[in-house]
Amino acid sequence: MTSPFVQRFDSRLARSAAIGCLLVGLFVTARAAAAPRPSIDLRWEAPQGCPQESDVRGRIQKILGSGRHDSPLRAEGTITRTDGRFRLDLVVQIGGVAGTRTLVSKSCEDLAGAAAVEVGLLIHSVEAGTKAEPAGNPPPTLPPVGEPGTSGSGSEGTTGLSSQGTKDASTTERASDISKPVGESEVKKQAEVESEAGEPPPRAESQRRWHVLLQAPLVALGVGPLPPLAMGVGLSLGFEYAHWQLYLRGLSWRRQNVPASDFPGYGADVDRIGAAFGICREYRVSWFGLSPCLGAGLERVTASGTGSNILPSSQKLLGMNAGAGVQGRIHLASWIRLLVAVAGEIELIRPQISIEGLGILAPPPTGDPPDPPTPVYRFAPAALTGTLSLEWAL
Amino acid sequence: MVVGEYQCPESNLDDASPPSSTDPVSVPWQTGFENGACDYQQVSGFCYRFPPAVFRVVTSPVHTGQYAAEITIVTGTDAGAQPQGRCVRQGVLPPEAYYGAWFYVPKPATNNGLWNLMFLQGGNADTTSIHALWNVSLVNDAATGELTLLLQNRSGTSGVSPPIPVGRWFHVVFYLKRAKDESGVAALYLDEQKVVELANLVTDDSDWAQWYVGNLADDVSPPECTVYVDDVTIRSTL
Repeated sequence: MTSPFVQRFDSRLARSAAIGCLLVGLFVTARAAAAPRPSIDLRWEAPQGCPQESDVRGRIQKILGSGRHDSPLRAEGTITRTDGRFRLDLVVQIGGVAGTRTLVSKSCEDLAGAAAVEVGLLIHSVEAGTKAEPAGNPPPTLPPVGEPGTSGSGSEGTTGLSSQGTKDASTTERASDISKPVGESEVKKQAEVESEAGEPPPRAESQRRWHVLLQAPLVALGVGPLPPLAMGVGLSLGFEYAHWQLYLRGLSWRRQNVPASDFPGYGADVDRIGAAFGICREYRVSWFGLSPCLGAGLERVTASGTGSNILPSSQKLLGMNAGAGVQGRIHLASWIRLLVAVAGEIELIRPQISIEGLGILAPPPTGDPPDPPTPVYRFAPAALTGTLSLEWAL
Repeated sequence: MVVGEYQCPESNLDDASPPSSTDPVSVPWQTGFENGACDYQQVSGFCYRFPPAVFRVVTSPVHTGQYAAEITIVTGTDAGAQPQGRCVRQGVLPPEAYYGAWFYVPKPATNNGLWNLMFLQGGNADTTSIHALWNVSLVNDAATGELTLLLQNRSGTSGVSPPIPVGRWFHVVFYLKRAKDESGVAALYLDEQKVVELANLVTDDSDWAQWYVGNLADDVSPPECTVYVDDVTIRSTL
């Protein structure tokens, strides 16, 4: 026969183990993400059966030749299947400037080849430009692909770095020269790829600069405005555009019993549910992002007196706070991040919790004004909240 | 936000009949103010204050438990001739009993009038014929100025104790063996030592009485005087 304690212990153990496994998984993923990246900064996502990141990376390396290539170029390629065909969205960033190319083909193999050639040629171009030209010159554009009319130019402005707007002829020339010795067959294949010009991509599939964000599950630990430590759970919905994030967070704190400091055994049970709005700006380096944030919130406080001989009365009040904080993001994948945040808040309204008659041994004589309620606890002027959550970029 | 109200339960008795002020005073009985004034209210007693007075529970100093009563009064104001805060047990007193309480006087003071700690008055429960019977008060020793206890009845019979300790708890017990003829006995104990005994006298002339414990003063210097009270008892033995 298992005692209730053992059952409870087992249940806790199982829960702890599950949470532990999840955390270990996250850390392993984070460690993998944190491992030194190859010199080519490439992110690649493709359906099963298509060439994966290692394949594309190998092809690029083949184009570039041996040796290390520390290019400032960063490429993100995503192949998706649409109506029986494959579509490549290739985003290339150099410094603060980004360019997008979209290609459609019946073969994802061809798309992978095309992407490898483009990235390889661009890295070459950048390296050549860095050596030949003084610093500060604009970075090269995406090279043309094959024959005019088959390239991904055009209708959506998908070719070329967005800040440039037009192709750089000298870069194009250079790219063509380089392509011949290192990957002629690859370039040929790329030329066979159909352009998506005149065939706008499905909106949901496009490479976007904006995302809907969902932070869930979200757990919180708070110091203040009530003693002792507070624990809460919640979720957050947000919107991300480029490096800016707006969010609306809901947080339900576990009930806290606030003791009356002058009256042992007496106090109040306090429930808090809060909603906060915030804005953050992310500064990202590779897989890690740091975001200073500003926010303001409303909190519904419900309190009820506790203690021997207390006739409780549940009272509600709306609190307000404003604060600033910082969020740290570990980008586990393009669609999920581990988020750790710390925020300091100033309480704009500091409720005073009181109990009538507590500690009073005799009422005032008839006709005298009644005694004021006995103070139990006043909300602290500031609070510190730490949160841990998964953030889903939708 | 006022999240509740301190209220004494109606009664701690199993039967539904509420306590009456004419009920016999049961022995033993005690309160340490752990439940505020509820221990009094549940036996038809009560606590009261006349301003200017603060009458509340405190967590320091305490004799035992978590709470004691603090009674701070200010004499010499226009607010009242006899500021006071006291608790009262009432009913038919036992033929013989020890009425005790622990007191704490935090600092010395000079009493130029009345400074009462315990008071017994008799009469009828309808309060139409109430009259003083016994007082236990603080008086200054004429020679040293130290505070001592004075036990006195309404006819002026009295006795004085040695000085009380200031700044620590001391135990005062008033012993009363009631008699309507001259066979009664009254005594006073200070920290378990008998310091006054008055015998062969009429102690009271009525069955019903009220026993007050607290702090009442009309002319004390300095005018603000505080007395702490804890562990009030009525027992059949010391």
